[in-house]
This record gives sequence, C-alpha cells and structure tokens, in this order.
Amino acid sequence: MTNSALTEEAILARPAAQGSRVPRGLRPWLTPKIVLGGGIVLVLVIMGVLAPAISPFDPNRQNLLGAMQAPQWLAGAHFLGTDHVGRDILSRIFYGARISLVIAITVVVISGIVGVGLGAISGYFAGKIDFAIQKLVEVVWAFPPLLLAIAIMAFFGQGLGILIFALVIQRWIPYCRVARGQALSLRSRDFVHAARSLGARNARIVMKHILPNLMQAATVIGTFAMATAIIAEASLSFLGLGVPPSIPTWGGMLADGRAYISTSWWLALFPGLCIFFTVLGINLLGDGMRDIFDPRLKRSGQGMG
Amino acid sequence: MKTRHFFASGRLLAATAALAGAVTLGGAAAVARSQVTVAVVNDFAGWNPYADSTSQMYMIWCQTYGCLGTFDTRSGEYKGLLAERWEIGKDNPNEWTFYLKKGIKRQGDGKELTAEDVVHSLWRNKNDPRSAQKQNTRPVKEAVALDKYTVKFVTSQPTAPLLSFLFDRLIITGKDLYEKHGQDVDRKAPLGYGPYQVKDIVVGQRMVLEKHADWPGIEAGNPDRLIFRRIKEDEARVTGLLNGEVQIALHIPPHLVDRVRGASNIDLKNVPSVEVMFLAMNPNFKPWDNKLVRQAVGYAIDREAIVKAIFRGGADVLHGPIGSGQYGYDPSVAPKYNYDPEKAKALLKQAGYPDGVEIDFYTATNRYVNDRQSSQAIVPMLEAAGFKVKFHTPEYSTHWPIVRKGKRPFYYQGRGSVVDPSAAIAQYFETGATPRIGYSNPELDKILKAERQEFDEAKRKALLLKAFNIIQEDLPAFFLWRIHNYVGMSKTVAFEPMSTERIFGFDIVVK
Repeated sequence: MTNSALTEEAILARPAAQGSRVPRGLRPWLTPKIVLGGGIVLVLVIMGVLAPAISPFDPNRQNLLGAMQAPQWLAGAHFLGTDHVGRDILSRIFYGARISLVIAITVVVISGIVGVGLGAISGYFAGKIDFAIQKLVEVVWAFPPLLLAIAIMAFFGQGLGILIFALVIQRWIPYCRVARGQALSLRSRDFVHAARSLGARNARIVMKHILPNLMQAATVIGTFAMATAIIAEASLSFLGLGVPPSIPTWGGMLADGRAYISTSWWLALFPGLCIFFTVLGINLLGDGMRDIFDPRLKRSGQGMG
Repeated sequence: MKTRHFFASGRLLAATAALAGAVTLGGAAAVARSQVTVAVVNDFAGWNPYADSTSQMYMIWCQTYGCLGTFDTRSGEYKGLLAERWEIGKDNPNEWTFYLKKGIKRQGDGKELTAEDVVHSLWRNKNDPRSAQKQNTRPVKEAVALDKYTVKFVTSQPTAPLLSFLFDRLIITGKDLYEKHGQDVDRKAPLGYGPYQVKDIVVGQRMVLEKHADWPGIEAGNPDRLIFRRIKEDEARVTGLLNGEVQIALHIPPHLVDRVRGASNIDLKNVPSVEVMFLAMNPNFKPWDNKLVRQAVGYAIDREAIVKAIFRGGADVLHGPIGSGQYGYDPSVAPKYNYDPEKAKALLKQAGYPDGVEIDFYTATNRYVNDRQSSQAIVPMLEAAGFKVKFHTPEYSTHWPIVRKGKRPFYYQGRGSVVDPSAAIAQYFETGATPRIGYSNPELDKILKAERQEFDEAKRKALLLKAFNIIQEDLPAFFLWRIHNYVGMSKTVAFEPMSTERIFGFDIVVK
C-alpha cells in the first residue's frame, strides 16, 4: 500500500515538478534538434576555448621518431595516435576546433552586420538606394562562392585575415536579401508610421524599430552560415589555400592525411568526423531555431514550409 | 497484331545484336592497338615546345618533335636519337659536328629531316618570345648546315659537357612549318621527327601521343598509343596503377611501397635518382644576403631524421650538389654540414639576428615525393635554430612562374636529370644564367667557365670539385637529398626505368 501510494504520488507530482523546473520561456527550445545540435556545438565551444588546457601536447610539436603511431586510446600518451611528423592528433583536433570556431563566428558576425545593415537600409529607404544595393548583391551573387574564395586566396596568399575576408565577401548576401524583404514590409507598418509622426528620424527608426525585427531571421541564417563557413574553411585548407600550415585546422589535417588514407587511416578519419559532426550539430541547431522563429513553419506544423 | 509485334521486336533484336557485334569488333580492333598510360606528377605546359623548362616536358618533346640524343643511364653512355654520331673538332674544340640519321621522315607529311631544321631549332630556342630554354644553348654561338645531314655547332668557348646542355634539351622542330605558320605552328602543325606524334594536349591533365611507325628503331611491340596522364595525388596514382587504369606510375611515395609490392599484377622497381633536392636561398632578399644565415640553415636541419621518418629510408642524404653515381662525385670529401642546432643558433646570432629572424618558406605541393611532409618536418628544425618561419604551400602552377622570375626568397626545389652536373650548376649558380636563385660569384663563374673548357677528365673533375666547394661554403642552396624513384609497372609491359626518369615509348614493350 505504501509503495503504491508513493508511486501514485510520484506520478502525480513529477510532471508538475518538471514543469516548474524548466522556465516557461525555455520550453519551446527543448526539442531534440536543439538539444542535440546545441550539445554538439557546446562540446565544440568547450574544445576550442579550453584547447590549451585540455590538449595533452603542443599541437605543433613534432617527434619524427614517433610518427604514424596508431590510436592508443587510453593505453598510451597519444589517444588518437600521431601524424606523419609525429604530432599528437587529439591536441590538433582541439586546436582545430578553436580555429573552426573563430572563423565561423567571425565570418557570421561580420557578414551578418554587413548584410543586415545593408538589407535594412535597402528595404527601408527603397528607391535608388535599394536599386544600387540590390545591383551590388546581384553582381556578387553571380560568382560561385568557393571559386571566388579560391581566387582571393590565390591572389593574396594564405592568412587568417584574408581567409575571413574571402569568406565574408559573399556570405553577407543571404542576410541582405532577407533583411531587405522584411524591411520593405516593415516600413509601411503602423508602428513605423507612428514613430515617424512623433518626429523620429530615419536613423532612429532603422536602429530602434527595423533592425530589432530583423534579428530573428538573421540568427537563423547565421547558424546555417556558420556551418557553410566551417566547410568552406576546411575546403580551402584542404586545397592548401586556407590559413598558413602552422595553424592546425581540420581541413589541413585532412589534406595531410589523404596521402596516407590506405596505410594510416587515423590521420584523415578523426578530423573528417569532427567536420561532419560539427556541421551536423550546427545544422540541427539552425533547423530547430527556424522551427521556433518562422511562423509559417509553425502553421504548417512541418519542417517543409 | 501480336505476330507483327513479335517480328518487329525480332528485327529490333537482330539489329541490336548486329550493332553490339559491330561495337565489339570495333572494340577488339581498338584493343589490338596497344596503349600504355604513364602516370606522372608534373603539369603539361602547353603546345609550344620551347615555353617551359621541366624534365618531364623535355622527355615528352624529345620523343615527339625529336632531339639529337639522350643519356642512357642504364648503359652509362650518350645515345643518339636524331643524330647518328658526333665529333669534336680535332684542331678547334669550339666546333662540334653532328651527323644526322638519314631518312628520318616527319610525321604526317613525310618530309625528311635536314640539317637546316637543326639550325632553325637553335634559332628558335634562342629567339622564340616564349622560350624558357635559352640556358641550354648558352654555350653555342651558332650552328651551320654543312650538308643535308651534317650540322656544325660552334661554341663561344670550348665546352666539354656540351652534350649535357644540348642532348634531349634542344628540341628539333621543322623549319618549313615555322616559315609557313609562324608562332602558330605548334598548334596548327604539331608534327615532329620523333618516334611519337602529339595527338592531344589537355593542360593540367594529359598528353596523348601516337606511334610514328616509320621511325627507324621503333618496333611493333612498342605501344601504339602512349598517354602521359597527370595524377598528382599519390593515393590516386597508386590506385590507378593497381586497378589497371595506368600501366606505369612514377614517384610512388615510400609509405605506399608495401601496398604496390603486395599486388600480384605489378612490378616495383627502386631506381636511384639523379634529381637533387635543395633549399634555394636567394641572396637578393634579406636575410639571405648574409652567408652566415644561409649556413645556419645548413646546420639546423637534421636530414638523416627526415630521411628515416618521412622517406622511410627511401632517400640518400646529399653532402654537396651531387652524390654517388653522378659525374664528378668525390666520396673522400668530408660532409660540411652536420646537424648542429647550437651552431646554427650561434651563426644566426653572429649574423646580427640574436632574437631570430622572420622568413617565408615556400614548398609547392604534389610536385616532388613527400614535398609538403618533408618541408613540414624542416619548419620546426629551423624554428629551433631561431628562424621564425612562415610556411607556405602554394600550388606548383602558381609557385613555378614566380621561381622562374627569381622572386621567391627561400624555397624547396629539385633539379632532375643531373648526370653531368655542369649544365645544372650553371643553370642555378652562374651569373645571369637564370634568375631562379639570383646568386652571383665571379670566382665561381670563372671556375665553371674553365671547367666547361677542360676536356681532360681528371682536371675537369678537379675544377667541378672546386665549384662544389664554393657552393658549399657560400651556400646559395643547401642540398638535402636524392629521393629514390620507385616506379610501379603493370606486368603487361616490359620497361627498364632510367634514373633520369626519362620514359621513352621505344623503351616500352607491350607483352
């Protein structure tokens, strides 16, 4: 009797207790996509931020006599083995996360600011300004993204700053197009008219009333853009056009490892898996966020809208 | 209706069968024409046979347009190709006479090779606006056709190693075709006097050659079609060899040797290479203008460790511009630069860089065996000596034109086909020969000139040794190693590779 009473009590009590523990605002975020994607991204962030503390070795320390050691897991010093010049793969993976993260965030933030800013101006002012900005968008949009980046890197040479510039140069476009579309519809909304009739200047209206309304869409685009930036960085590093080889990156590791793919699989497999899971995680997170932010999806109840 | 349908489909079947038969027969005919594909690493420059200077292109142009001869590393002798024999003037060592083989017909139109074509080729080598091969004919002042089959080369100074300059490096092209087409001749009429005819060039991918069956010395067993295909990725090249896509693959890296050796349908040959690999340090750039800095590089690098780890023993460390088996090598010379990082540090300090110095180091990727990997291993060694290294790995096609203009301060490079080192040493170190290193030393120039003029072997070798010592002391380039050339070949072909990596169609027999 005691047992059943307890069980009954527990059954009745738990949902209520759970509900109270998770704040109401967070509840829509607890979808499998966001939890899983967010979890992976969190691991990536931890790996990147704590790389110097958690890496067992200096990622560039070579040991030619200890080259090509297979993964030793917990049995030896090199958990994931060593590469062709005896560098510790696990440490390089941690530091590689760092560079992926830095590049992804910087690219997304810069292209977000440029894209949303230009989009808001373009949509709000319309007319000639809109025409000029949209022509610029069309010109830049005409280049295949990776090809443009390759051309820039081949011309200016390797470097972190140049790489970020090469990735930003086209990634601001999606923000700009979406922001412009929304700004076009926002400019004729009542609250904008109200602000204008109260004497607010254009700059204030854009900053206070237009931009905040573009943030949700920009966040969703930003998450997806992060994934493509990571892939683009890996592709350019793979081609030897990314950051200088002294900076460990997953793409660079993959490029080094491809020469040994049939003899020492661990050189290419682990950075390859990292790229795969990172992009998967970011895409899941972006998907989940789009489900929340995009009202059209909510209405259809599907992710297909 | 049904019957008609039946017949109709029967007719269709028969037609299909006939078509299939025709295709099979056609296929059988195509198979009967033998084809050998050779996987190479370097790019194909284009149609102009004078416009680039790489070992690979000399090898291809030599067997298509034609060349006077080549050095056969298997017999250790020069062998005539378009030339039958040659002699040095008894009274005047500046005069070399080459006697052409008679009856060599041009591909396509059958016009016979004459001495005038050779004279024209020398002119074009020196005057083609895109010529990158002028260094090969530098010692030659003029060429004169003595009769239809005899041509005299006059050198400005006696030049003992003249054959190493001219043979398989002076490409012979038709005079009349050039007069007819001008600079467009290579595109409009790529017809030569060699054993194979150029059928197609796809820059960056492949060159297709077809056998010129009338060529003297070509045999039925030699492949009818010879394709040079660029596969720069090691794994892809080896996979292509193992699955029969290519029949001969060059530059198999040491770590894939076991994979090739394990295949039952493939033979693997380990050929000692005559390609010397080095680090070029252009003294026109800082800090390479300082000899002590260059010497610091010599002491900073542990070549033995790199050979062991990166090349798995498949390379020989060089203690000078050449090694054993190359002309003028003296085994008694003690190695000058042994790995000594402390000494490297001290030299850098002495040179005025106590806090180290920033340098840019360039290694093109997928050009030489384990190029990127061996350079990656060099970087921390230089850093340990105090250099602050920015390591760059450009594509070879963007890197090479910059090297040729003399605008790369510090880079990893190889010089192939170094049998007699005279031409190679002049090419890289003699004042004004090529701007690749930009080094100039009047004393070395004098010795190189004297060496070329010396016909007495012992004296010439002594002079070469003197030149090597100057290079080793001044160190405009630090010589690293010679990488063994592992050549993989299908058991369907018989071929004996040469250490110059020359692959001629007439040396290949399809079994």
